Amino acid sequence: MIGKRTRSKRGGKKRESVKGEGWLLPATVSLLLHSLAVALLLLIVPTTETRKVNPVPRHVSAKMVTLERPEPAPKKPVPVAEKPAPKPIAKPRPDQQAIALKQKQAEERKKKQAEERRREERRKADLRRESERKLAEQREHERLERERRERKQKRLEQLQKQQEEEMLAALDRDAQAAEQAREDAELAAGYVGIIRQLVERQWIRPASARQGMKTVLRIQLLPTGELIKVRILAGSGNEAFDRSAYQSVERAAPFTELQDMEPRVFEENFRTLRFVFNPEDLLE
Amino acid sequence: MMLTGARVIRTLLLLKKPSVMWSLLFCLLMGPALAQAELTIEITKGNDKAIPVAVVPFAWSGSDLLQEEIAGIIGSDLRLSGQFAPISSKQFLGFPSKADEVFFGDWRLLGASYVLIGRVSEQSGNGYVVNYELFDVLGRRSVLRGEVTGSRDQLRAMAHKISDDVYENITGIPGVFSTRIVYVVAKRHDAKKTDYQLVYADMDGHRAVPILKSNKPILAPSWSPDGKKLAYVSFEAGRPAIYIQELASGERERVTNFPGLNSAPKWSPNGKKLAMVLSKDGNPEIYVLDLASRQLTQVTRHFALDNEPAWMPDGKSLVFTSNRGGSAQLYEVELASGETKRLSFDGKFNARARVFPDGKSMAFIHKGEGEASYNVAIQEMDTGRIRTLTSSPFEDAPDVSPNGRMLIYAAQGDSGVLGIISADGRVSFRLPSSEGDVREPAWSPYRK
Amino acid sequence: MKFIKGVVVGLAVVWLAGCATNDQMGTSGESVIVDVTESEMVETLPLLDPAVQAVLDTGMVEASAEQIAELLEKDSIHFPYDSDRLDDEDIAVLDVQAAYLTSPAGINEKLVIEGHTDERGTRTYNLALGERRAMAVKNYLVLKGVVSSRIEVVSYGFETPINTMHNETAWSENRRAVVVKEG
Repeated sequence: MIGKRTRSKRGGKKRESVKGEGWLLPATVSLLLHSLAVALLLLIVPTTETRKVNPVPRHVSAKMVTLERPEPAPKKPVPVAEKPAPKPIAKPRPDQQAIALKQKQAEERKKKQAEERRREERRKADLRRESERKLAEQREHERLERERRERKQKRLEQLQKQQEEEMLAALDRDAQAAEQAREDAELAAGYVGIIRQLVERQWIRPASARQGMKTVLRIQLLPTGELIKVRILAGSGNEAFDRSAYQSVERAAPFTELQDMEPRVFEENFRTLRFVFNPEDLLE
Repeated sequence: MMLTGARVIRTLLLLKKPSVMWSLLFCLLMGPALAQAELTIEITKGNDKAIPVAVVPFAWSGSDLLQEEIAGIIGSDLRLSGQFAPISSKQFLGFPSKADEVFFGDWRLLGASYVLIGRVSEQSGNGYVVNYELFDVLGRRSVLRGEVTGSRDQLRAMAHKISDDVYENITGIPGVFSTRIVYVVAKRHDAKKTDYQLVYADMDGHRAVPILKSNKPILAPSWSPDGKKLAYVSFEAGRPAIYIQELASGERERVTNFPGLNSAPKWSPNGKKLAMVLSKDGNPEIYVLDLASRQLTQVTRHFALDNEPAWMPDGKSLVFTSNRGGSAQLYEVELASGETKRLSFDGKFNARARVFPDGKSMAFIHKGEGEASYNVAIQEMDTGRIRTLTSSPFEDAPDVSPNGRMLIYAAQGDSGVLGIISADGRVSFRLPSSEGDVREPAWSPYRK
Repeated sequence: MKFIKGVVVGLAVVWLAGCATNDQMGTSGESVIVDVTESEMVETLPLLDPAVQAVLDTGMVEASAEQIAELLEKDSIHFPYDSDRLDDEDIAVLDVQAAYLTSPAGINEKLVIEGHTDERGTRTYNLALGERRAMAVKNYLVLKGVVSSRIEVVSYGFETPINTMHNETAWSENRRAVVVKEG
């Protein structure tokens, strides 16, 4: 559905890679898709306002933009050749045969000249017409091109505007989402503080505990705050110390304070938690 | 932040700079995705109160009465350490003696972190077998299982052995419940007659037995590192002299015969030397006696009073008391070089130091600036930081348990008593007092 | 001992009285009764403790017999807290003692000087402090001419207090060195 097209500058390298429909994995990472879409659109945006009109049609065309088929050039009315004027018929005289012959010859000569002239004119007119036609054609062609380009640009601008608006809308949504995320994070931090206090209150260090020991636990909670599972991810090397760590979590549970939390925040942050036990208050 | 970001994007859109927007948008959109990592909570401090533990009365299959209540002894031991809070058996919902009788939920309800159960049965040939098992209530599993055997009169010792096992399993360091103490008891009849005894007992004060009786003062006992001998000061010959007594046989030897003062004997960590104070050369100074060769080496040479040597665990230097600076303070002397440096700077009286087994701190008697009482204090060797642990008016003779977790000391008075305090100062007890004025305790090494 | 003293004193008085009258008789030949109190001064000399006498005889001490007697009675030197310093009072006492011990009367006597302390501090520290106090006394006596081998020093630290109360009075009483004469 959507291909990928890299921005190409005039005179620069042209690169293309097309990804056909269905090549992209279904959007499990919807964000990636989104970003790709928007990035893509970004990249279509030209860098400058001023654009050189390229009279030479590009021989590379992308499939993505469906251009309308060019309109057929309007037919130009072919100028109708003028009908020659009717010849006037004259009476014959006695000596007038010769005169008439002369006149006839003269008239014929005239006729021929006229015809010649006419032919000439016709030829000229034809040429003129031809050139005019060609010019008109050319102009028409140019006009069409221009119109086409204008339309294309307009469409692109429209599209661009549309995409911009969509993107801004997306950004707004993201901003809102981020705002939401920030609030959630603050909320989560509050609950983290509560949990930390509850666990610290229950952490009894064994006599062999020393500064520098570190145990890492992972726990799983229910929204009720009940502890489902505790697992030691990394031990301190001192078994009594490790045991004191998970015992403190067991004692502190259930974390009923979490029941006040919004389900969304719980799901995102508190289903599983990591604890790092690393005492800083030991005398030795 | 996100809103201004959108504004930025908008501006940039107008400027039509795709590369910047590309990266910005990427961050914008990937940001929330990246923040989706697992929440990590850092726990940096704790609340070191006593661990609640339930010691269930051990089952006994015999017909007659056991002369000792094992669970009671274990509970007392654990309480004495200051690190455990045994739960009264009156609160128990049941009295399991086998693993399948332990219902973790019940013990969890009581607030117990651990449950200890056990069974005593008679062993053929006049003895007992005690089986015990320790459960982690919060982790819902068994963490220790053991068996001790012994003769009829060893029940207390077996109970202490179980206490040691349980203590080590939970805290990670060895217990001292099978160690011994010695102390001096003085019974004053009148101004001219006082009887003195050197007494040997379990560390909880039970099974006290006199090992020396005299009508002249006894003081400053010191244990040999193998726990088989004691050195002490006795006035029986009319003046203070140092004796060594072998516990098993009761045999004694007078080690020094010098005029004047012979005092404060202290066995070296390797058991080969005895540090002491002699005034034979005109002034109380510190000497070291090689026990094999009986060669005497003078350590301090100062016109001031030098006294009360204590060995550093590496045996290379001594901490001692001297008033060469104008008041009683603690100093350290390196035996090889004789280099001496002052250790205590706080207060007008610091004396009778005992170095902890790890060599990192020392306990001593301290009178703070402006204070009137003489109390047990602990000073860290590297930082010089002092903590005062106790608070009765006149305290004396501090000694450290072999695991460095507890101290014993004498609280002086008309009827002096011994006190045990945890090294962090949180819990303290008075040992059951015998008749008379109790003083001069010394804590044995681990029993081998 | 006291009876003999009384007899000696009495005889002395009688003898002195006899001297006065005899002189009077011997010069004129006539028996004239003269009032003794009017014309002559009479001095009575009490009998002295030989120890006191011995001290006086050494000439080392400038004090009256009474004072000396009093000082000889004192067998304890007292000390300030955590100190083995001798003050002037102590010196006075020790001077008298030294004088006696170096006199013919006291030359063969041996002594033990006991050092004691109050209850504050630690027992082993006090044992050494008591030793220092006793040694301070011994050293002074030796300085004053007493032969060192005659003096033994023993410290009891806080082991044998004379006042078992826990107050300043008791403490100052207990901080002492005691001169104990043997034999």
